[in-house]
Amino acid sequence: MDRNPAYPAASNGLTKVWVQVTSGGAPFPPSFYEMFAQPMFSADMEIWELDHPYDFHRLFASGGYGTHGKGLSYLFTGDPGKGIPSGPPIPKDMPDDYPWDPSGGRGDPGFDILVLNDQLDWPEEIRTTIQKAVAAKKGIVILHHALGDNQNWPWWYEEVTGGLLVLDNQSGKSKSRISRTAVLDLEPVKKHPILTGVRAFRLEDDSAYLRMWQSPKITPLLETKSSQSDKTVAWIGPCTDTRVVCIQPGGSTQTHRSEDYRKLVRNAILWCAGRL
Amino acid sequence: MKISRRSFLGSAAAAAALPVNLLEAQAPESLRGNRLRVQYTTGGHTVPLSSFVMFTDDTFGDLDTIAFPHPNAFRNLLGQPGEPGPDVLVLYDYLTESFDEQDQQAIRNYLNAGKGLVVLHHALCDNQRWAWWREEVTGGSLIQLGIDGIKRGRLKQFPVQQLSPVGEHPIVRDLQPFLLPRDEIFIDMWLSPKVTPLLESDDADLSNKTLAWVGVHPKARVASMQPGHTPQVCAHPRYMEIVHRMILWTGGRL
Repeated sequence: MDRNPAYPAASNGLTKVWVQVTSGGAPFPPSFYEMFAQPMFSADMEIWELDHPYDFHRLFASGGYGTHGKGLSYLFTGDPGKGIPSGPPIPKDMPDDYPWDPSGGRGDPGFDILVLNDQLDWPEEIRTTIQKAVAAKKGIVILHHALGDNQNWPWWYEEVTGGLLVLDNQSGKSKSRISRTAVLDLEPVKKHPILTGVRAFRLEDDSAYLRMWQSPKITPLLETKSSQSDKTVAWIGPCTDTRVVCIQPGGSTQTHRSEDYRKLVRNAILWCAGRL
Repeated sequence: MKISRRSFLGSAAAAAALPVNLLEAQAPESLRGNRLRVQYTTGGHTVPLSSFVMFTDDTFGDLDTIAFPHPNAFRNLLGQPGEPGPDVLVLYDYLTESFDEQDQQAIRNYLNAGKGLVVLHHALCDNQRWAWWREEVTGGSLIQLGIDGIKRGRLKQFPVQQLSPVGEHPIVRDLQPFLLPRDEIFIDMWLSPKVTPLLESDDADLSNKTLAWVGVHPKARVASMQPGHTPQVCAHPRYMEIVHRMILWTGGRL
């Protein structure tokens, strides 16, 4: 798993796990991203937000120009067409110990893990990229809103995630119910590395999903008895090519600041990366 | 296959007629009180995690902020019964072509209603092919695409610079000059002569030293700031203070 000593080291001496977090199409509290800035995450992960519109190509290694890929650097060095050329490129002022920066011009190994909190029906181009990522064993963690992704792409919810928040009635599936400000008492179902250090805990102000479509092939991790929610609220997806974890809560600041919830998300990422 | 942002937005907007649960991300009305409603819209480029931390209640406690990345982000700018829209829209997205037609109309209506707009860093690269946006709204733009008659901008990474307030505008009144942590600077930006400068940089490569300014829309209050690329800058107290003042001023609270 370790790749390049030039990249930051995790607390266990290995290269940090590179994590792309993507949102888009649905609103959420800023505390969602605040969660990923905590030492619990940053000690072992290099985490970058990459919100839509984005096509997931950063899940694969780049040879050069950070977030932009190689393609954009020409904009600052030559004149591809119209427009008045500006001056020459300005040398970077970046000390050797300056951390990797998405626009810093340094290549990167490609993100190991994709964490999703978007809510979109992805266009065909993105679907092709994510299929390649799954085949390349990139881990995927699905949080809250993202359980509503790809309403009309059965491969995604049947073979990968194992769950779908149904946003409108459709053939064979009734619309799921969303309850805001629900109280959820959550209990671990079994012993699993993802549940290390996660106790039974309560979330007092989250959005709960009821009557989601869930595959019989999922492996439950957390359950609740709340009448406002489906019983299984966190599970391992049925994907056989890579590791996928789905976590239904995640819509409120109270949840994002829950130590148990944070542990759950952190462990899910590390497990998907083969670090647990 | 790599796709353009425009094609993604077009296809996503067409395919993604998903219900948007706006209220889910907002605090209950009883907790919101008289706080300014702020929508923080990102997308198309990385944004430091610390920029989101800035918008939490611990820092901007007098603001009620939701994060709402593209697409669909402009669907409720003017609000509807039971789902109030934002008082201030903060853009930190990176959509270099043009907003799609639906979003263009939505933001026009929003600005004509006299609402607030704050434009940070990457978002100064938005809408490079939409002249109205830079000439009648923001007053400044980093042009990276080939646009007839406009010099193309460059990046300078990652110098330390001193920023100094200009004039007596409420956004910078009584601020002292300060050193900004390492950041990305836009060289050779297009800037309207009609903007009101707020902050100047001492960086020697800048032909125009203005790094923050008040925009030019006749009805909406618009403020823009070029810095904001690195996590260190987004966590810098003085930077956060200026962003906060921009939000308060554009929202009519300063």
